[in-house]
Amino acid sequence: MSHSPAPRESWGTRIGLIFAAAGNAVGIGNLLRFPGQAATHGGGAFMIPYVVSLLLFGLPMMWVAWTVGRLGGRWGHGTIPGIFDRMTGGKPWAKYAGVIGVALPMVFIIYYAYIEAWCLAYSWFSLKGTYVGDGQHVVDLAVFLDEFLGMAPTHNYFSGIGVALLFFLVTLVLNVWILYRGISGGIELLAKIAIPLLLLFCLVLGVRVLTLGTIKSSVLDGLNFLWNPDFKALLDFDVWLAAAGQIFFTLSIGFGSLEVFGSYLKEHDDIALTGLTTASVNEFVEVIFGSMIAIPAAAVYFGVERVPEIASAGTYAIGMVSMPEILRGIGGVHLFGSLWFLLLFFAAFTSSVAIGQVVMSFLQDEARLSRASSAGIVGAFWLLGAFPVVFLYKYGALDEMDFWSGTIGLVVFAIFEIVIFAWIWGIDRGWKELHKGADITVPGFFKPIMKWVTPPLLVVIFVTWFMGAILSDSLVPRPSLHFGIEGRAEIHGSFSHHAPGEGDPEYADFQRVEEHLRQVIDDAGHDLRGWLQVTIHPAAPVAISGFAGDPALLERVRPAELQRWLQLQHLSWEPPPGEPAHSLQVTIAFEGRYRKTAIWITRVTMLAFLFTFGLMTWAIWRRRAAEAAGGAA
Amino acid sequence: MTVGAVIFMGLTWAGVLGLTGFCFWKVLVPEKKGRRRGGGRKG
Repeated sequence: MSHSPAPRESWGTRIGLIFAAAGNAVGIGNLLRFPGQAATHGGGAFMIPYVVSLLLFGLPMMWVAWTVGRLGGRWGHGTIPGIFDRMTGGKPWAKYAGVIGVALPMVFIIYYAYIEAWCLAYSWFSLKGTYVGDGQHVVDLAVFLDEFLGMAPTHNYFSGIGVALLFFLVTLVLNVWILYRGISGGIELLAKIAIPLLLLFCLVLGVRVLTLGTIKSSVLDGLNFLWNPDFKALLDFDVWLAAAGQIFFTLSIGFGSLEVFGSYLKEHDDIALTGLTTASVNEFVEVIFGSMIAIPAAAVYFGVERVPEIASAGTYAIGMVSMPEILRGIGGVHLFGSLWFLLLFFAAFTSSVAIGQVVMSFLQDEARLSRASSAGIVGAFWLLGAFPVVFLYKYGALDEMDFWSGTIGLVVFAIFEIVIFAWIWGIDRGWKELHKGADITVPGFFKPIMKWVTPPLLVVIFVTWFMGAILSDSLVPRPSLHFGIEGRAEIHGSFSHHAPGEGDPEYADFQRVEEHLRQVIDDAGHDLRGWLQVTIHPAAPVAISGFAGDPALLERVRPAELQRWLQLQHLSWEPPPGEPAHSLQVTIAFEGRYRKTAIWITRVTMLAFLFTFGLMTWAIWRRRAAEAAGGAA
Repeated sequence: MTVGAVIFMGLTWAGVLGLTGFCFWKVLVPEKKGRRRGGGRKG
């Protein structure tokens, strides 16, 4: 006897759906990644490839996702395996290709929730003033973040990753609770509260930054740095690729979440305007607030000449190191720091629940599980998958997951989706479906773009990213080298270090020293630690006077080599303002991390998810076939 | 700020604000579908 599936949930209001979809798209990247990318890829001129990418595959994929989702909902499928199966007329490979659209969101939310947890934790630290420090104690925010995540070899501010783990568990419970509450009572309600709050926080912080005046530079200098067009950058392929990547990530294309959202709509509910509105709210937060807060604030506080270094340090460095330092410097950490990190938390929270709903929907629609059971399974998977992310973070587990699921996997999924939509299902049928009940008419030129331009562009992006990883040798887990200053919290003044980059005359020498250190760790097959007694003088290179540590390290690495390594990184220390230059004796903790085991554990974890969902899909379709055969008999 | 920066920032912000405004206007003030046939509302 066949069981009729439970009635599918639905959205309460249209504005709730739009807020939920916008919450899905608006994430940490809008406020941190976009300004960093724009600032380092041609400033104002970056907007030309950005808008071109939006038109050539951002908006087309957005409409495709909504169309595919609403179509699936009509067939009782909210997730990709079932939708691809129907769209291809039951081709066996299609549902297994669709498994990517369930496994990758699962992997994505696992590590994204950890980043979300950092934001929640930092909001709490801001409220408590944990990183403010006092006259006696300095809080080095880069070290603070590294120690919080267990990345640093020292323990000045945190004794381990307990605090990070605690905030992760809180974040996980919050996410699972929202998913358990369902579409209108959970995700939609959260979006109706979080999106207005997010916009309000953006506005308060934006006004605060714009009224900072001039410290080392002015706000206008910061805006000028971000927007002044460098047209020569347009000749650089990397700039076009960076813009395409930004559009891809910012619109949350390839996660399968928009499809799930669309599946809860009725056949004649609009999707054309809803898709465009989702994109426009995302762009509003990204282009206006994203360019108004972090980079101008950095220019004012650090001086415009230091902005390129800050912008190129990466998304998390801007958000978790530079911004707290600025907020600490200008005053009002308790209020503005809390708001900044709550803003990032809400941006991430609305995204993670949206993407988590993909797995929920798969379990509810396809496996026919109740909402409570589905939420329980998602929570259990989440917790299991989080072990490598949290405990192997220092070996690069999170970056590994981000590369495979949050970068390569998304493009692969998007390629399957556009090809099935435009070529197998058929662009004419797809276009007609998009316009069913539409409140706007999508300009006709998007139709040939969806068929002829978007698919090859996605292939180019995939090949470039994948080849880039192969050519840069980043798929082979090499050991990583780290050092930290023991007792950093008690030492006044500021430390800095800067490794030579490509093109630097010292680069080859630096590479040679690092290569030897890595070889020693590779040969040992496990982590190696050492402690160096070092003298640092503001006017002289560092000098090592003592060296202790693991026998394998002492045997094969000479102190002079580590001294050279630190010198090539230009490790220096400046006493606090007003204090005369003098020497400082410090103990430096060195750690060489053997990453192979951790990276393979992470890869196996991701494959296990892919295999599990694949196996579930196989079992579900087999059961359905048996039921159909039983019904026919 | 340079003229180029002002132009690029102005155009981008205006474009985004315009698009968002248009979308919300269409969402919040929806046209009635399939009710009117020929002519406008009379009287």
